Amino acid sequence: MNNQQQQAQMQKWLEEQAKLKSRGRRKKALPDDGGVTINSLMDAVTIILIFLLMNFSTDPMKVTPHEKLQLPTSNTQLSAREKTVTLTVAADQILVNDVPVVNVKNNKVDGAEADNLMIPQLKTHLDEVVKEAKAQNASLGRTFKDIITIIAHGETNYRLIQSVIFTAGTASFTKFKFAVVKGGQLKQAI
Amino acid sequence: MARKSKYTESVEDINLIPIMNLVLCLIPLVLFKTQLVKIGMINVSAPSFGPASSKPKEEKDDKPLGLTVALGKEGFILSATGANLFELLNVPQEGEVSGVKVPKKQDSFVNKDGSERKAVDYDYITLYRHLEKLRDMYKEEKLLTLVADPDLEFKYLIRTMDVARFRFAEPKSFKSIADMSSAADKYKYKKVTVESTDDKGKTVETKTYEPLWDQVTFGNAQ
Repeated sequence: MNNQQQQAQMQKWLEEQAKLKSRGRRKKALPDDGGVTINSLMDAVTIILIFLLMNFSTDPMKVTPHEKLQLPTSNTQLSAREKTVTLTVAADQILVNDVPVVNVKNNKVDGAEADNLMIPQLKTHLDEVVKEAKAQNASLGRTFKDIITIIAHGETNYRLIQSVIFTAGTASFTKFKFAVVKGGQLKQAI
Repeated sequence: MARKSKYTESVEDINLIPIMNLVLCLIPLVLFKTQLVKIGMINVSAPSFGPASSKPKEEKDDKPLGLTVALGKEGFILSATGANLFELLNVPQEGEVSGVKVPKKQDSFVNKDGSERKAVDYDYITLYRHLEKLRDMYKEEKLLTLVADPDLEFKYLIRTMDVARFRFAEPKSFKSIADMSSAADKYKYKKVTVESTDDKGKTVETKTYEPLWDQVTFGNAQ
């Protein structure tokens, strides 16, 4: 091997080494090999989580307003503090503890007499609910609270509300609460 | 020149994927329990749907007022079983009317989109003034009976209860429903000190809003 060949080999080796070195450097310079950067996603998700936690509800009663159940707005400051029997008067049906009891059409209960405030199907269902609640409370050594929360659609007629209250009254409920949407203003058009 | 340690270059970023998984699991859970609409409560006393007595009472001071506010198609009608409201409220009695009428009037209301509109609605300001006057005369009375036209929507009763609940601090300045609404939004109600006993039997003084006619019951429309 002559001198020239030796020099050429040396040159080739040096170039290979330089290439390897530069490849290594390039690898180190890149943070990821095409991986997704989740930092921004993490930020967005954290913000959403904080927002949801701020609105986290510990209310014992949950109402999801929909087309047939638009609660009236009010400036009341009272919140639901205890879990009670709920009587929902939607535009199309009456429910007790979220169980449909009777259908309503044009603010009139199906099968109810026009000149009678009593709604027989509702009375029967409420009696059963009261009986069950009393038995449960007795087994737990507690007294039954005769409170009922009425969740009524804002456009329900007074006549139907009156019928519902009267029927609940005959089913041994003596305290009534009306669920409303907080934050209502007196100047709001209704 | 100081040489960088070769170990400093090999420090890796924190692995956020497990935290991300946890947070993504938490979101549906919290979302399920989140209630964007704040639900409030209005207490109503047990109603008496029997026929109301309309006999005039003679001894004003001893008899309960028995105040009833009726929401009719043309406005409010105030009546009482224990007193002559025309005399108490200095309102001229015209003909054979069952109670003091507060006719509907035009006012500016705000739509859901924030635009203003003129509408003929119940005169809540005059009703409030009458209720306040009667409250001053009958300080021990608390119960207000609401009755309404059978076809009237329930939301008007809630609005009437909102007006009758507390005594405003400066009601004389109310010229429109917007003034009253602004005062209610800022809780500009009169405050009173109420004495109560705590769990240890000590007398505690607490400041609260002065009620006007906060005990409401529903009656039967005549």
